Amino acid sequence: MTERLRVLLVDDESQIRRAVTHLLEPLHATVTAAVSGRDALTLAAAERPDLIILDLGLPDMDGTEVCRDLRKWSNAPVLVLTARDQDHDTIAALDAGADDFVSKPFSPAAFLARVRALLRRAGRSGERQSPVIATGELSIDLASRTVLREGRPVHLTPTEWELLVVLATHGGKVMTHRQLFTRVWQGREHGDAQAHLRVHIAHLRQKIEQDPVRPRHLQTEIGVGYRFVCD
Amino acid sequence: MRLEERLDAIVLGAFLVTSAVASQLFHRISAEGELARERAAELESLASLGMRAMTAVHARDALQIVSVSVREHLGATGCRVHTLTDGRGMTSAGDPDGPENREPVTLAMQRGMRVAVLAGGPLRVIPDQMEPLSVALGGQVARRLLIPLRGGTEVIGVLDVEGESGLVLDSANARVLDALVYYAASAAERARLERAGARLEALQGAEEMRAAVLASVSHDLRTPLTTIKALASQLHVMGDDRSEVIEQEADRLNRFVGEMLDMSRLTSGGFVPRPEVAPVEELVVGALQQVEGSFGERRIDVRMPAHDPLPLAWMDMTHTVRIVVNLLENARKYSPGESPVELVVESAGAQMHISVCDRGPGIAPSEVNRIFDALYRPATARADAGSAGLGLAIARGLARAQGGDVVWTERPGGGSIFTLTLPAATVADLDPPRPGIFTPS
Repeated sequence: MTERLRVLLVDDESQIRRAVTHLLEPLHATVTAAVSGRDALTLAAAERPDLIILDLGLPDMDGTEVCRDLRKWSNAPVLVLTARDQDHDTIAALDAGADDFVSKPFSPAAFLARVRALLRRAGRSGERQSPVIATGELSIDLASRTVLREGRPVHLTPTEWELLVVLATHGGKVMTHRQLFTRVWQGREHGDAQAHLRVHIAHLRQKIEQDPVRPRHLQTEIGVGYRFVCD
Repeated sequence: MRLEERLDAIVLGAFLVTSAVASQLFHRISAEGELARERAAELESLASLGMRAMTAVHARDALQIVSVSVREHLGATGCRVHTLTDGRGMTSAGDPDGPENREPVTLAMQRGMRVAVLAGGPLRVIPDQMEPLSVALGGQVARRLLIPLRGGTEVIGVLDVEGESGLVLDSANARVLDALVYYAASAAERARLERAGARLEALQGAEEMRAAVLASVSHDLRTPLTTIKALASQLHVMGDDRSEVIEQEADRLNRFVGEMLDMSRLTSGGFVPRPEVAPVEELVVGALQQVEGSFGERRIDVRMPAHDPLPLAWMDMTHTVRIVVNLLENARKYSPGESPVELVVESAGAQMHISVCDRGPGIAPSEVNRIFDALYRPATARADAGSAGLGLAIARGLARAQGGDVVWTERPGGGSIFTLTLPAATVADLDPPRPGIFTPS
């Protein structure tokens, strides 16, 4: 018998805790609740949860701080609950190690999809079995550094290749502008980083997407970053 | 000029006038040796009065000091200073037992001329500002004297002096009166500025309060809305179709709150755009991602410029996505049926045009100028169109705040075209050399 999934839910509002607990029912998880950042850290250490759902507006600690402290010793995926007008906090939390976010009031379906994606990714931990990431009409071969779209090779510039690799190897995860910039450009001098990033993404979409204005893979999280979606 | 600076200027001006009066007095003193001591005392008391009036903490205290001095120096039996309030009413400071009759006060205030109340009651208006009082009255005895106080070119108050047995207006008294009028005018101006300052502070306080209330309302609404949506999905799992309606209504409420927040930020100047060079394609991707869910089966046909593979424009991405989303949602709501909505990107010289075209009823000529007004909804709109009527006002406000605009034109063949214009950019605009550390905006 497999062990039950353990979820740590951190929110100071009891209504949200109840609602989220209901939403998690299909996962048959054991949900432990924490009402403050300090509680969360203590419980995370004691319970070793498989997933942490963290509200950013906690009474005692900045959610970002909780993420940063957690990441010193825990790899458990962290999903942050945020709000439309909290882009800055969301980005800070993601940069501090959170894995994904949903904005309140979130749709239950989208919430569950994010939770499942995080658990799936965490379950796949360890070595990648194959050097090829294949999704839909796209196939990215990390070993031979080639991209095929519908079987035909796509020519990418070195920057576009790096960008695609970083995004595709973190499939499903939102990558902030800063994370992408740091990994792709590795701190090299560049002008307006965010603008360059957007331009490269636009080029990349035109090369790998069938309909670049409705990208299947290179999706945007406006104001936050990008996400590579696998089918 | 800040309030404090203006007060400083007034005090400085007052001392300059005092010294001018003083030096004038001094010249006469040296000529008329006999009066020297008397005038020196006059001078000293004026200077000390000036000091006291100008350093009084509140304008009202300064007015009080002036009014007491008038009584002391002119042998008056009562003195008040009337100042105009913002509602064009009047407030009075000084002697509580001072003259009551308002008629001559109003006369002096409105005409900006000196008014004397003669023995027996008749009023005498003295039009010439420079004419000495003793000359103007020609030996008649004034029981009350009303002298307009000026702030710049405007009359801002009236000095009101009463002497029951008649006022003595010899040249020495006239000089003292001149100086006192000046002090009273400064104090009245100060009172006016203090009121304006207080009003400004109150306004700022109210604005901060409004922003805080809105932010807290939107936060407090999110929790119950999240809960409601979660419960709706429980109902859905249990097979209740009404859950969908509940969820839609929760989303609608959430949009209202968002729109109200946006509008509040726009009208209070709380929205500070940060335009950057960005591909228009990214804007389109972001907007479509948000609206295509609500469009359902209905198509949005996108046309990008044929000869520019990478159209660029200056925009604040987050807020510009909101503009395009508002325009698309507007098209969906007000143009019924299944006809596709077109989203057309065209470069037009120094501008980039992003147009949303529908086959709806269009806009009546009488309504063209009002559709961008907050809370305006065309008469033909369905009551349940799901909008607070802020979408277009927000779209235009956000566009204008970053150097663009949103305009309406009639669509040939029927319908509306709402066009967002943004300043166009080129790849050359991309590369202002900057230190390479990533600076997220």
